[in-house]
Amino acid sequence: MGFLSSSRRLRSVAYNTYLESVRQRLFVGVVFFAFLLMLAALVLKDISVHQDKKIIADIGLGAIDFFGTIIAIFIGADLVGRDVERRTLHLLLVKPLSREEFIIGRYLGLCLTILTSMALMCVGLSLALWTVQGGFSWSLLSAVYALLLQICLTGAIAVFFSTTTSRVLAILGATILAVLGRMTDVLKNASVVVEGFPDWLGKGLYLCLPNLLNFDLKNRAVYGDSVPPGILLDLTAYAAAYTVGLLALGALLFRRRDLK
Amino acid sequence: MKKLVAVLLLAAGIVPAAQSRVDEERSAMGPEPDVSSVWTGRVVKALSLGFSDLLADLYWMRAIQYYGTQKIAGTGFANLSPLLETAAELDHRFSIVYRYGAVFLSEQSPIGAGQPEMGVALLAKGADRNPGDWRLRQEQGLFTFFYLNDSVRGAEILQQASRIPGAPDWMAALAAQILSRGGELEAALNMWLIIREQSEPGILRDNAGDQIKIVRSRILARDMTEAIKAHRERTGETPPTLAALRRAGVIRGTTDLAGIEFDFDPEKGTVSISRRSPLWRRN
Repeated sequence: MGFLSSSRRLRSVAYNTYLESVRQRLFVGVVFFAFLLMLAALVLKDISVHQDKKIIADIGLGAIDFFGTIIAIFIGADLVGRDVERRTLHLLLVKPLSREEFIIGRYLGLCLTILTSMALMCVGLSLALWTVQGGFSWSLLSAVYALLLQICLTGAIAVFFSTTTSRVLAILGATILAVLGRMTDVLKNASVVVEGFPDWLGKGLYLCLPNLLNFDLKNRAVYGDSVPPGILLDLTAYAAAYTVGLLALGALLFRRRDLK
Repeated sequence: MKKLVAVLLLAAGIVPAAQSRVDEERSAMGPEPDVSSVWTGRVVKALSLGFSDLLADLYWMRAIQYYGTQKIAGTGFANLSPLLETAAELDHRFSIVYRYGAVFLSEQSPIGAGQPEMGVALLAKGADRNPGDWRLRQEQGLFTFFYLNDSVRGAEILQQASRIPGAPDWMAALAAQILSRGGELEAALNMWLIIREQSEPGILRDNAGDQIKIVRSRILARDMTEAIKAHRERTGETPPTLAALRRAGVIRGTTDLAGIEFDFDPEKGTVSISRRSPLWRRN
């Protein structure tokens, strides 16, 4: 009974978050720019010398990656902080809604928003590929799925920061972590390149930071390699575990946060 | 409201006019000095934040634009190799970068950068990174033979290529033909015919077409030299011009495939492609 009512509350928060997010100018603008970029790919392919399909697929997947990450960070970083700053959170929390449910509901709403934006961008990519008789292949779909996991994880990072600090700092923190997460291979080998850099620190950072490069299957997808389902399962497990950990830590900190 | 519209129209008029003035002034300043200012591939890759494929495309398109611009300007190709190396470093499987890049680098100036060692090295890097791609190894062998004039090494590489699964049967035979004495020009002709056959329409196929004309002209010159040598041995005399040789029935024509008359050295009795011909290349 408790589980049912809790899931109802989660659904309600998630749905409202989703509606708020997709109505934001940022969301519409970012998806519009992604479409523009894919249109630009149709022009660029002409100067690429027989690389039409590769160029369009690279630009399309790159746009999904980049603009999806922008949506995850900028909308995610605003999800909790905004209600705290506007004091609308008090109205929500007097209802039978725990702070944990609020955070999880917000995060699920963000994931729905990310999913919608990616679906729209995939339509754009398919149309662009269709013009060069490429079509949307299954290998591209596996890369898009990995990107979805990566962007949802980035969203979890943003929501985590949003539970503990202001919007601006949350955006800054999430951006820094997202950038570091895309440079994990550099961190891992930093001691080899930078003299005096402790090896244990590089390896430690490599293991602790979210390794967003794990999710980069774009190259394999563009060259039509088959992606074994096992790696997609492992990536799903990694993203889920990291996300749960981040949200749990965020919830813990948010529980202690003085909202007065 | 009217003022705003007037300002808007004024601005809309000024911007294109100013742009065309800037364009004129910049072109009057002459081409920018061509100094190498490209970050190395590994640095770019480390900073690519997961967008290395996209950056590889951008570097590739930049390389093509750069090649075209510099070819017209005639101010050298200092940035060509770094641009190609960076594109290849960002996407190891971007085979067109190795194939086209090798042509751009290997061809003599003004068509290319005149750096065949770098062109062959780029192909070798591509073939090493993509061991299943017999075409890259094949082109490494062909370029080694043709641009570096190293028939032994070229044949060795072609033999390596012939052992890669999927490689056509004729490749080993081609390697043998290169090694056989006196058959080098015929082997080169076969190679360029193969490259033309395998290439997409565009720069590569056009270049192969030009090379075929060059090799056929060299074969013509060689055959003419041999005919003149035989005539000299038979009669003990050498007519002083190609026209005289044609009148004497020793040779059938006097021009190469571009329609330019061959050079003739009456003392040595040798015929070669004229420097005035677009088919002339430094050996």
